[in-house]
Amino acid sequence: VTHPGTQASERDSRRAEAWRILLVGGAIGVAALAYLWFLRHRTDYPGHLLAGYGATLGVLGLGLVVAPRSWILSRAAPLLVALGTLVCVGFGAILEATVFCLAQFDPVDFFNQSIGAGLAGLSTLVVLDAERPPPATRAVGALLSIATLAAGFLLAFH
Amino acid sequence: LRFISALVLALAVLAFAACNYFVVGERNLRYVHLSHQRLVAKERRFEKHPGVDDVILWRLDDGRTLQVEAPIDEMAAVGDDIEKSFGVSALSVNRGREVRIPDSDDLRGMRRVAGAIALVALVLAVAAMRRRRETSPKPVES
Repeated sequence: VTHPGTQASERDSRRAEAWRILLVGGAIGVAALAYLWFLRHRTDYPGHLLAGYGATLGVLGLGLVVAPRSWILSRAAPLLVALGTLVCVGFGAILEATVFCLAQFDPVDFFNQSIGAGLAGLSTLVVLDAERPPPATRAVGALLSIATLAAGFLLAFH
Repeated sequence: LRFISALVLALAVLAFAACNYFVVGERNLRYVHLSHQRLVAKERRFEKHPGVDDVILWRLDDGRTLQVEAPIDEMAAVGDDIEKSFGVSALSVNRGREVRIPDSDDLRGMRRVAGAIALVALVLAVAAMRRRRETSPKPVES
């Protein structure tokens, strides 16, 4: 039998998790809408933002799921998230200078995808806990990562 | 460490947004200083959306290469002498003709987007800093 106090605590915990998911989803939604509204003549700009966000969120989310539990429990876990984000920014620069370099290295594309990566890093810090992410957070994170990555490619190359 | 990590990422996002605005400002010639340079060549390269995101390059006699927006490209021809002060929205062509440089859609849009991005980064950073690390509640047997 579960203690009533524990049930209330679980309910609060789920409510807080739902609020965090809404905050993270809403944040990238607002950022993408700002690009689509104020720079509506350049769909490749939000494309790079969303691609950088989706790829980084995917890498960091996967890291939270597969990393050794001692790393998640460690006080240095937030620092590892920040470092992982900066590595993703660097990897994005390499991709922009090689695979996606059409006319020349475009700093605006790089900065847009790096803004997306930074927002993904901050979002990961918002959900980072002393345990691995709960199932709902994992599912929404995976969906958000795939959806933003796909939307990013469509907007950038369509 | 959570506070420092969130602060570093928020500052990085703000720096990327500021750099974005500055680079677009350079393409609009807003943040470029020219002291009677001669335009020696022009080049147009194509990107993902020809006609929309073309890369237009100006080569100057001092060795610099500037990327400019399409409306700017029409303001001067190869061989022209061009002069411009940093931060001023006017281009002097051939020591006499003054051409006003209006803010482009890119520059205006990037300024507004930078504000929205700063707000989003601030909200996420504050939420990340205020987050308490919790262990999941364990059921209590009675």
